[in-house]
Amino acid sequence: MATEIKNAPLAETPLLPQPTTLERVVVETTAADLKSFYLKFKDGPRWDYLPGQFAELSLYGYGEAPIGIASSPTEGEELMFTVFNTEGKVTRALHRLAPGATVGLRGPLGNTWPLEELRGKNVVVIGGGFAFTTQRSLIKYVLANREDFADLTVVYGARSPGALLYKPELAEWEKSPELTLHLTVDKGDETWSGREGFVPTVVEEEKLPPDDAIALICGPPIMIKFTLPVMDKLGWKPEQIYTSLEMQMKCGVGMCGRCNIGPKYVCVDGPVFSFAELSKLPQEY
Amino acid sequence: MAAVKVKRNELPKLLEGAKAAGYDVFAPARAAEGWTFAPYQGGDVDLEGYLLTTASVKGFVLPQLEAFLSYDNDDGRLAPAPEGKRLLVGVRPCDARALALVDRVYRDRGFRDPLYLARRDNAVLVVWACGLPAPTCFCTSVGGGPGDATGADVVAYEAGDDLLLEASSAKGEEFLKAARFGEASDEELDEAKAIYAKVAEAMTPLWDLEAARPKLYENFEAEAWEEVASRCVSCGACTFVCPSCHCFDVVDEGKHGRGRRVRFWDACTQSPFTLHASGHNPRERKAQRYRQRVLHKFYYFHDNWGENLCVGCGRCVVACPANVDIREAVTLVAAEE
Repeated sequence: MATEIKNAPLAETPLLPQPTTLERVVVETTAADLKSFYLKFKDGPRWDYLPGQFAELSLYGYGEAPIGIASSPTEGEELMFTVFNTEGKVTRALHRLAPGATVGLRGPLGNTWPLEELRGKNVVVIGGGFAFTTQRSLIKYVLANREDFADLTVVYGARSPGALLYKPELAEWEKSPELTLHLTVDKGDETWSGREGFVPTVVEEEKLPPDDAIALICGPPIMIKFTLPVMDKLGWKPEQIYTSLEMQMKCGVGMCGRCNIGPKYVCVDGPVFSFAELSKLPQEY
Repeated sequence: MAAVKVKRNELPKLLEGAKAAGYDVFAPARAAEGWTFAPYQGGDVDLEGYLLTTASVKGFVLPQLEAFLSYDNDDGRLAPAPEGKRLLVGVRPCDARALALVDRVYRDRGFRDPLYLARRDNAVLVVWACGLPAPTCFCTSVGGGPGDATGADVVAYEAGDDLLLEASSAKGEEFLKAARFGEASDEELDEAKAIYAKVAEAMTPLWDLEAARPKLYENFEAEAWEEVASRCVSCGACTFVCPSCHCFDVVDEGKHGRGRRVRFWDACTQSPFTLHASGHNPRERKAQRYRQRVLHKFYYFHDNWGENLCVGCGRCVVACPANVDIREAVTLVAAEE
């Protein structure tokens, strides 16, 4: 009986985590405050997900935290989550885990990046800081299904070179003909020969064209606040720009009631919203 | 079978029969303060002076605190679905209606909560139509009424010395069939219902919600929110006594690798409810939080499900230590230009 319950789908047992094994941990930033956790379901692959979705990471005795899925379903069975150590109970405990540990997962939760609308279009990804995770998922997905999409342009910035995520991959992407990558840091150091400057400035300088394009923007509120007017000037419409929101969450399935923005629940109606959708909601996030 | 008729003093027979059939029977009983649902101890059910229990029936299906999962190191197991059948007699229409609304959240959004649904399925609600609403009652203003059968399994109408019991769900029908009482005629039932329709008519509507609802949302930034929430002390009492408030928090309790994951009632009127890990809080001020509570009841839920999440029981009005009144809030905010 217990086994039956354990294997029941999320729809019927939405609060029961599924066990995964932590395969490996990658320290992403020089401050070691961001680590990527590679997880594998204990009984083989369990769910299908798409870029933009999230999951609740569960550690018994500590609790759960909602984290965006940073891997792409095109990458195989391993799921990857890049987690910032907020020094809260769950993320602190996660950061102390070594490979072999068990991590519970509930998901996939929420909606996805607008994959149908992106099909055949120019894809523009604008990311800042550690909000880049589900954008990475989307980039990997586009690269794996390259013929389904037109140009892929990525603007990604961080405070310092050491704060950039996925550095080996960024180096590959810089050389790749499959996408255009504009990397920037607020302030460089002796290791940095690239661009210095804020993300909105880069978007402005590169004059990212809105024609036949969809943009996905994620980052600190201040970055988004200054990037949107630049995009408006370049002719982007709110319908063309999507973002992914964070809220305090417990259940992730629309029951616990704390992640709503007006009538929309970030956990089930989001986390991905277009700015056209957000313009109809209260500015309460 | 339309309805059955029993003498009012035959009610104990019905309840004893239910007990014999395996139901845990609960009925309103006087408590230190007000009324509560207590295990039926036999004998007459004295409802003299009873209108509402202090706490609603929601705790029977959504306990105030519930360990939904237990863990032993990495092995977690859901708590087994509760099995006991319960008969709740004397539930008011507003409370039953509220559970039908909570069903939307715990059953109809694409995820089904097994513990909630088991309790819901195992409970038979015998709703007692209201003959004498309190001044704080406003069910007819929010879509309900003194004889509303929404969410009920059986509705009991008092008619002199008789009780007419009408099934309003398959569960209720089954229960009444098993009880083997004589049928009530359609005329008798219509006559009894007509009395409760009069009770409903006598309740003056507070507002025209169809007109007020869009105003509440348009007036999101209205000064009136500050005014209505100014006395709020963020104690959460309104949410805990509310039959349709269903939000919860989750905490792991245990040590040395063994423990349980519990959920417990939470309140949107309290600041930690929406506090982000970053320290940012989208609803930091109490006016924002009170606005959330009112708009969730009257706008957001309606936007999603076509119904108000308030059933007009008035418990929040009674329970508030600072006399914050949700009726007044709707009136004031909707009136602001």
